Amino acid sequence: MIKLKNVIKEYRNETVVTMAVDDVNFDIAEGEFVAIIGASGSGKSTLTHIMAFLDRPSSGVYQFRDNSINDLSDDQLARIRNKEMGFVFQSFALLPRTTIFENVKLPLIYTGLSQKKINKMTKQAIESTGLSHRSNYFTNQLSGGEQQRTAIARAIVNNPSVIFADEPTGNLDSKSGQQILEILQKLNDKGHTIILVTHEKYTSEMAKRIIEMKDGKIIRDEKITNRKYAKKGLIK
Amino acid sequence: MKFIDYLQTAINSLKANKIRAVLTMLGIIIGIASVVTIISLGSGVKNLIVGQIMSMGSNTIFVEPGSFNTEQKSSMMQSMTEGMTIKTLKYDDALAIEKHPDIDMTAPFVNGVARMVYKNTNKKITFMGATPNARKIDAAYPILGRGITESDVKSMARVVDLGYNVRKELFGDENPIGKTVRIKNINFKVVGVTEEQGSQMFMNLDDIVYVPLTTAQKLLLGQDYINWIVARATNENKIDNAVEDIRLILREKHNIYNPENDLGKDDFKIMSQKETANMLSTITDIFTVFLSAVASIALLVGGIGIMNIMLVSVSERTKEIGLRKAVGAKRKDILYQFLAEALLLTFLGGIIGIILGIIFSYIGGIVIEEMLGTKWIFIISFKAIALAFGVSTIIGVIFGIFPARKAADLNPIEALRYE
Repeated sequence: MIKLKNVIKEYRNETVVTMAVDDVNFDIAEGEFVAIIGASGSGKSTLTHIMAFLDRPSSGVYQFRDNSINDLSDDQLARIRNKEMGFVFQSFALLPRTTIFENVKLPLIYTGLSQKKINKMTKQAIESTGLSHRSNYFTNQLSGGEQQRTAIARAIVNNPSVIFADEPTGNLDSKSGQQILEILQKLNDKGHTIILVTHEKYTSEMAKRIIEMKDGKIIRDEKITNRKYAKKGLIK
Repeated sequence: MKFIDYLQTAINSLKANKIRAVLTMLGIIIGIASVVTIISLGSGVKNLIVGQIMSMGSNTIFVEPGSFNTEQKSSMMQSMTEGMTIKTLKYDDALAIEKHPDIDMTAPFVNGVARMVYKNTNKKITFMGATPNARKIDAAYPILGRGITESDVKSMARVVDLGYNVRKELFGDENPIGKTVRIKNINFKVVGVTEEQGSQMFMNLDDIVYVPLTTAQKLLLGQDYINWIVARATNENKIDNAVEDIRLILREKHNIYNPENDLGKDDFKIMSQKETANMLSTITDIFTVFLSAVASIALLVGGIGIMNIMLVSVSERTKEIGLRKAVGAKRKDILYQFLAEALLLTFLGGIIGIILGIIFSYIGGIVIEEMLGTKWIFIISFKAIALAFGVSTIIGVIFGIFPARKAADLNPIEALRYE
C-alpha cells in the first residue's frame, strides 16, 4: 500500500542543507502495525508527514496505493487524506469550545456525504471509542485520555485504511496512554493499517514492525514475530 | 462542504468572541446607519421643498434681479449676492408685467430683518414690504382686522399686518388691533393679524410681518428698488409664453438690447415654479450624495476593522486551519469558511445599521417637524436599504478575501506546529 523509493527531504537555508529524510526505501502492506521510532530530530516526523500526504519529498518516489505524490495537486492530496487517512496528534488538536460530536464529525463535512449519513458515522465512531455518553460535552470538559479518544474517534470516522498516530501518548499519563494503545491495537485487528510515531520505547512494543531512524536514515527495520513478548513488555 | 456548514462554523466562531464581533461590526453599523439616515432625510427634505413649492401653485413665476450665468446656472450664492447689489428691478416693472393678458396679478417684494418692539417685549422679525397681492397669492387671510390695502401702499401708511406667531409672542391674548409697535424706531399701527400658515422653504411664515411696499422701501430700507416679483399666470399652460413675454417687457424697460436672447446679458432672471422645484431638488440630491459619501468613509474604516480582526482570527486559529487541512479540507473550503465569517459580520452589521438608520430617520423627521412646524413625510427609501445591503456585502468580500486567502494558503504542517 505504501511504497517509498529513494525518498529525500532536505531543508535549505542560505548556508546549510539539512537532510531530514535521507534516501529512505521501504514498503508497508495493508494491515500492518508499524512503529517508527527514533530520537527527536531523527526525521521520523518529516517522513510520516510525507507518508500522510501532508508534505512532499524533495526527490524520490512516494506511492500510496496507485497514487504517486508527485502527480497530485494539493487539493487531490487533501481528497485522499480525507478518504483514506486518519490522524492522531500528540497535542490532540481538538477544536476549542466545540462538542465531541462536532469534533469527530469534522473530516466528514469535507466529504459531501448527506447530513444523515454523517451523523450516523459520527455516532458509530464515538461509540467505538467508548465516549457515547459524553457526546455533547465540550472538549475542555474532558480529561486528557478522553480528549485523545475523541481524536481517535475523529481519525476513524471516515473509515480510513491507514491511521497515522504521531506521539499519541506523549501528553498522557501511562494508564490513559495504555488505553489509547489498546484502542489502536483493536483498530489494527479490524484491518486498519497503523503507523505509530514515537520516541518512547514501550509505546512501540505493541507494533508488529519497528522502523528505527537516525539522522534521516533507517537504521533498523524489523518485524516483531513474538507479539506475546511484546505485550508483556508493555505491562510493567 | 455545504453552505450550511460554512454558516454554522462562522456563527460558532462569532459566538466564541461576542464582544469582539460586536465591536468589529460597529464601524459597519455606524456607516450603514448614517447612509440610510442621510438618504432617508434627504428624500424627505426634497419632498418637503418640492411639495411646498408646488403647493404655492404651479402657475407662479419668480422675477429676481441678477442674471443667469450660463455656465453655472444654479449657483445660489451667486444669485443671492447679485440680488443684493443689482438695483434695477422696480415697482414699475411689476405693474408693467401685470398688464400682460396672461398674467393674473403680480406682487413686488422687499424684505429685511429687524426687531419689533411692543411695550417691554420685543421680537426679531422678518418684515416684508408688499402690496395686497402678496397675501392673495399666498391665499392667506386675516383672522383679525385687515391686510395691507392699495391705499396703504399709495399713502406710504405706517401700518403693519402681523404674522400669527408675532402676535402671539408680543401680545398674547391681548387684541393688537389699533396698538402701536415700533420697527427700527418708527411707530407702526397694527391693522391686522393673518391666519396661521406654518413653514415654507425653511422659513416660518408666521414669524413675518407685512408692511406697505412703499413704507418699507422709504422708511425701513431706504431703497427705491425691489428685491423680487412674484407673478401669477392665468393658466399653467400660459407660463412658458408669459415668461418669454416678461423677458421682452423687462428688457425694454431696462434698455437692454438683447436680440440673441442671451440670458447672461439680462439684469434679471425669471424662473417658473417648476424650474425652482427642479433646481432645489437637484441641490438636495447633490447634498444627499455628498453627505452619503462622507458617511461612507465610516464604512471604509469599518471594512478595514473587519479585515484587521479577520487577520487576527486567522493567526489565532492557525492550528485549527492546519487540522482542517490535514483531515481533508481543500483550499476553497478554508477560503469560504473565513469569507463566510467576514460576510456574516458585515451582513449582521448591515442589518443592525439599517434598523438604526430607520429609527434615526424617524426621530430626525420628528425633530424637523418640531423645528419647522411643517408636516414631515417619513420616507424610507428601499433603494437606500438595497444599497446599504449591497455595500456591506461588497465590503465583506473585499476586506474578507485577503485574510481568507491567507488562511487558505497556509501549509498544513506548519499550521499544525504553530503554537
